[in-house]
Amino acid sequence: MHNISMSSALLFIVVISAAMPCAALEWFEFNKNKANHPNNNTLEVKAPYINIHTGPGRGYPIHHIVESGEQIQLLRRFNHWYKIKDSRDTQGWVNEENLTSTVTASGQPFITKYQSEADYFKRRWEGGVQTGEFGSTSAISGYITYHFTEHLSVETTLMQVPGSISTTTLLLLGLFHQPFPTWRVAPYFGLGTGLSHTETNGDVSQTDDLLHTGLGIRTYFAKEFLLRAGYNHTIVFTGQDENTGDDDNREINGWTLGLSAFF
Amino acid sequence: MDTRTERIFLNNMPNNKQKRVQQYSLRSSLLGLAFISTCSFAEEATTIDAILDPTMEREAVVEPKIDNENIEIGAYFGIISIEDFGTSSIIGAHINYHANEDIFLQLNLANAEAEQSSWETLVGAELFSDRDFSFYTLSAGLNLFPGESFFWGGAALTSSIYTLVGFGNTNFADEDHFSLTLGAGYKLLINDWAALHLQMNDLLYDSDIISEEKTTHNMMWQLGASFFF
Repeated sequence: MHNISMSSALLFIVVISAAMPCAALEWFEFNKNKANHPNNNTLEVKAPYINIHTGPGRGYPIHHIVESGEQIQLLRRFNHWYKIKDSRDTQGWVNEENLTSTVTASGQPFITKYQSEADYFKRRWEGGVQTGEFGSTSAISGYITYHFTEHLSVETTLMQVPGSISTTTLLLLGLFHQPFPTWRVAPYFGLGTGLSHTETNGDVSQTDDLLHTGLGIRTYFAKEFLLRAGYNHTIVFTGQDENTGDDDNREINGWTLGLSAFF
Repeated sequence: MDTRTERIFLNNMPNNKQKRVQQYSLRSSLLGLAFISTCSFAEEATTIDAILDPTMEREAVVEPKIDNENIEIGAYFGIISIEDFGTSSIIGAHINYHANEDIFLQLNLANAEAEQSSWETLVGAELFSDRDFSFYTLSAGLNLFPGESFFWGGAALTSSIYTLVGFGNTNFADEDHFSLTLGAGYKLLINDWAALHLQMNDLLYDSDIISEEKTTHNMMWQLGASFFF
């Protein structure tokens, strides 16, 4: 029991200390890039014209256009849409794809970063919601993944298994490997540790260490979304049986199905 | 005959061969460039760049400075009909992540106080003392009909009709229940950073509080405001 706690803690420290420098470096790079381009909110239209919508979505009507050579100012951003103001103070929303044919005051082309299938393969962060079964009980979970490389990722999951007699909440931390990241349906597998907290109706609660292994598949769904399905095997170290002294660790199989966004 | 080295570097070429060899040389240089850049030998690439002397400038990527306002946080109140336990008021809060114009993810928390069931009213006893009805849901939403709504004086406000489907946990009578939620709503953007919501939700779960286990429907109407960050 004690050894398991130690190894859990050790694995956690190893994973976190490995993740920290990567995250710090990325943050630094991001800010450096930002500092290099202090003002690029005023753009000049180079395309024959661009459409201005009333709202941030393709379903909103087009109420204006901006012609080639006109200046526009970026005001706001909502996922793939920019709110702009033209020289006559007309405001509206432009899709970022239309802004690839604009230039900044210094004449550089303005390139916005939008997610596509190509970005899916380069994703760093991934977070989503899942449902499935844990044992034979329905479960809900949310998770966040950080991909160090296209093969290796660390993932933390918070799962709840509601029941009318007892409810179990699990906190999982795992290291996952994707052997074929470029496949359309890419398999993954991993190993992790965590905690299981069970609360029974009579206000009795118990917290145990656990180990979990998982394997599953991911596939690109649309724009910034991916779908994933997994099968998990969890061993909860509930300790020794008081009467027999035998190990009575609970072994639980489960599956999950999830929708996730990536960054 | 010229040697291979002479072909590549144009050393001591007789004039009549110069033109033909120049073409070869360009081709070889391009091949060389492709090879070297793959191997990322920066120094040699510079040498060949100098030979080719490209006139085109490399384009720098200019990224937007504007923050992306994809997070929406809101609160609401409303009425809920808890199956077998009357109608009560409900308050809740939600956080939405709008990854694109069509789909969003939502975490929703809500709380209500259950009334007495008809059995409890008739008998004059309580089935259980903890009347707290609380739930959370994790949902995916779809902006089904983006458009405009017209009010006074021809002013048009951006609006959207959306649907929601999700899963969660309902805690009622001190018992947890895995739940399914289905909903639809109308969102009206009053300006760039604030919106009003009118939403109808159904929360479904299996319960055996009253009798044998059955699927209960808990319908609710919600009115709320939200802000974009």
